[in-house]
Amino acid sequence: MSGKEWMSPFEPSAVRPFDLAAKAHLCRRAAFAAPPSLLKALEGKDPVACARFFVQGEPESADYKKFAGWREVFQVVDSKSVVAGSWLGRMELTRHPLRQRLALFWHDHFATGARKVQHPQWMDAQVRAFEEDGLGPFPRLLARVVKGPAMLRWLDADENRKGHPNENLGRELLELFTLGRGNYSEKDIQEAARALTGWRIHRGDFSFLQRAHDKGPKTILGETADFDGDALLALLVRQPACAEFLAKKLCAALVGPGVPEEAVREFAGVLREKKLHIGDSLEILLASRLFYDPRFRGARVRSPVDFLLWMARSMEAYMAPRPLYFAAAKLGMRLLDPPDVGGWPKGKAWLAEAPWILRARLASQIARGRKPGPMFPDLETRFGDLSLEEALQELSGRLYPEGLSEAKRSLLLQQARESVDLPPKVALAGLFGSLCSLPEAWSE
Amino acid sequence: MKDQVEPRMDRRRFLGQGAAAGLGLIALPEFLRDGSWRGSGSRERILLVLEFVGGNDGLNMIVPTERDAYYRARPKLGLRRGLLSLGEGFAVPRGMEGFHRLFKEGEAAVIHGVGYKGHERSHFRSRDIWHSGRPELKKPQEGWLGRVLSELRGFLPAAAVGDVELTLALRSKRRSVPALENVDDLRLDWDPRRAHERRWLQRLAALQKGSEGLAAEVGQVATASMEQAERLRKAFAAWKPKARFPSDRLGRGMRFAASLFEAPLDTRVVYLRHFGFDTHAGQQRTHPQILRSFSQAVWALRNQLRASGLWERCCLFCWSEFGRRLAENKSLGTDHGWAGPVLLLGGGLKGGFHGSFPSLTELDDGDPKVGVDFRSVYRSLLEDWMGLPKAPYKVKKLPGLFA
Repeated sequence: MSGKEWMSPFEPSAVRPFDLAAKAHLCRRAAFAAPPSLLKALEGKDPVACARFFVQGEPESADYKKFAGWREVFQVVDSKSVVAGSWLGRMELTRHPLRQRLALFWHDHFATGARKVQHPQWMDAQVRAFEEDGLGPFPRLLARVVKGPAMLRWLDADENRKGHPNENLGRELLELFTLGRGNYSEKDIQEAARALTGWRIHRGDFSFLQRAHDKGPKTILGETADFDGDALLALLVRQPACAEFLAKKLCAALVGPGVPEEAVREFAGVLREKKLHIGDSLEILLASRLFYDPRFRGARVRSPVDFLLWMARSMEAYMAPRPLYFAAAKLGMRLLDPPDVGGWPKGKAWLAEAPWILRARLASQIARGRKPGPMFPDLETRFGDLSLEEALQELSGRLYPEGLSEAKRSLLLQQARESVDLPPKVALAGLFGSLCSLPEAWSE
Repeated sequence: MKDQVEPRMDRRRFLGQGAAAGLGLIALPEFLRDGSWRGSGSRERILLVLEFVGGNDGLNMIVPTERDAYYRARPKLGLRRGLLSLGEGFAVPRGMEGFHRLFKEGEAAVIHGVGYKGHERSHFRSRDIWHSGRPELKKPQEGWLGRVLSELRGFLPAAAVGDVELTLALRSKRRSVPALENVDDLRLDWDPRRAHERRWLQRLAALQKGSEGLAAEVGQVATASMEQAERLRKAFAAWKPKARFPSDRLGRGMRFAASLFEAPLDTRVVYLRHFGFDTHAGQQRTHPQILRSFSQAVWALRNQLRASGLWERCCLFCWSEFGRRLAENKSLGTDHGWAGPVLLLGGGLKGGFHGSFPSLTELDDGDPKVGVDFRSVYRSLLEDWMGLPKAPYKVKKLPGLFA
């Protein structure tokens, strides 16, 4: 392919119809799961309208609003498990799931660790930035995140003063947030650090300390001016490398591994055209031929949080948010505390074996009502009256709407039949565990 | 060795072979069948690699107490009080009593000024270089330890512990080893009835036939991990530590590492990480704390391996992606530097100082200069200690490290 073809809208044909499987693919990528209500909402829509549906989202429910105001729900406010837990609660309940998917993406991108930041409220403010501006113009998000107290503390910005630059923020700003390695020199970093002098935290908020700022001229990326922090951010987002860098990461996160380089370049062109407006660009990406290329179906490995949300959102149920935070941590993903400034493991790195066992065990534990379960409403209440075979049909239809292979169905059926002598709750949990331990459960 | 054609073997395939055993298709070795404890693990020399993550400030670990330049550059952070002397004008801070004792007994070596040519102040790039041993590669795929895995024999020749993700240092194109986070997580009780669960696992394994792509990979990892977990769980069930390990993350990791070496699993290489070394600010609080935790864990490890007779055959290798700058910054911290010390500990070492301490007055862009190429240490470890074939690094070995 050449030209703009990768980003042109997917045009269904007899060979490649816009069928249930295609829509389920979109739902899983844009909304963690493909429950019946969501598939119904997409009925009659073409790929472009479907992409718009997810980018725009629907009005939030009352339950969601409860979690949005976590200070009212939880007694203890000064704890990162409360911040992360309430965020997970919003991810479970939101009717704008793409926003949360992007919030997770930005959390990985900006990879700030609560361990060092120490102030849960600052982490909460950063998460709010991801949620509120994650689908908007990138320059706005970048400025809000980088000037937020969490990031200023995380990268020691308030230690960066005229005459004694601390390069931490300057370095990560260029290497990890905007340009990527190879697109700047060491000198650029030192000069960027000078431009950022004077940024500090005052009473939990950004402030600019004039006398700590280095006012002299700086040469950054070939341009010489009296850059301050804001001018530096403006310079960075103007670089073609910035769109390329974001395009590559967004493609990997939403389309899958192995996106051809020319497709990434095309998407970078879209980003530039849309002035780095993420939502507008994703409307194109999520309706594109690239996105629906068969090679990317089921090609993205689920992170632990993706996995937990897939279970909850497929069942259109939710689990208590704080136990969910601890469950994700146990699976190797302690939200708000990424392993380092590079973010979380990606793709197949999640396939290490101990976590496999943990995931498989966790699914049936949830179904048996142990932490982070039970799900509300719980499985027994919903499906206890059905025969095990009917229950299997119901569960499997939610988790795998396009169906499983004949071989898998018959094995699951056998498993169900052998479970009839077990108490219904245990039998259901076994079925749920079986379904969630299929290889298909690991990718989307 | 290099003429021998080895079938290309990746993680999935390696583990897939193990899976058959777990499902009863291949008889289990005797020691696993009855769960009895017999054995002192590998009879060969073992290597425990400890990565100080974040860029260790070597100057505040092996303190040059007789250099004025050190105190001039670090008016606030320079360590003066409570130091434990190592001789030759160096000392370790208070809290490193265990390390100090090992050094005095000739069981610890300090290699001064280790690093590589050229400054790389990015954590990631620098780790890539150290992990791969290949500074010339832009995006290395294989680790310096991963490269030699095919030379090692046995069920579990190497493992990373305490981590979800396998470090690049252990990644290999031909043979694969696991990252084990925690021994307690190897239990499989997701079904109240074992028989029921085992049947499902057999079915899952059967499903692997005919599946392809990512699903096949996941399936193989899944079934194989079940088998491996079962073997490891049984092997560990009978293991009792003889030393008291600290209860923090590193202490637990060391304990796990010791159990791997002592279990009959043929383990010769274990990889561990110790966190918190990126001390840009407030270093005077955090750095001594992580060094204390390190020293305590090492002391426990030495007591444990002494008791099991493995200490003479163990070498603990501690490194960090870079040292830090000589001068302190204004946040009571230090920024990314260049050369740093490497520590070796074990019963079969020639303790003391190796390499020469870099000048603190002739700096390179504010950093003490590198005197020892990190790959010379790798060569000595791989060839002289582990007894492996000549490593392909175009640098000389560092002589005289081992007794």
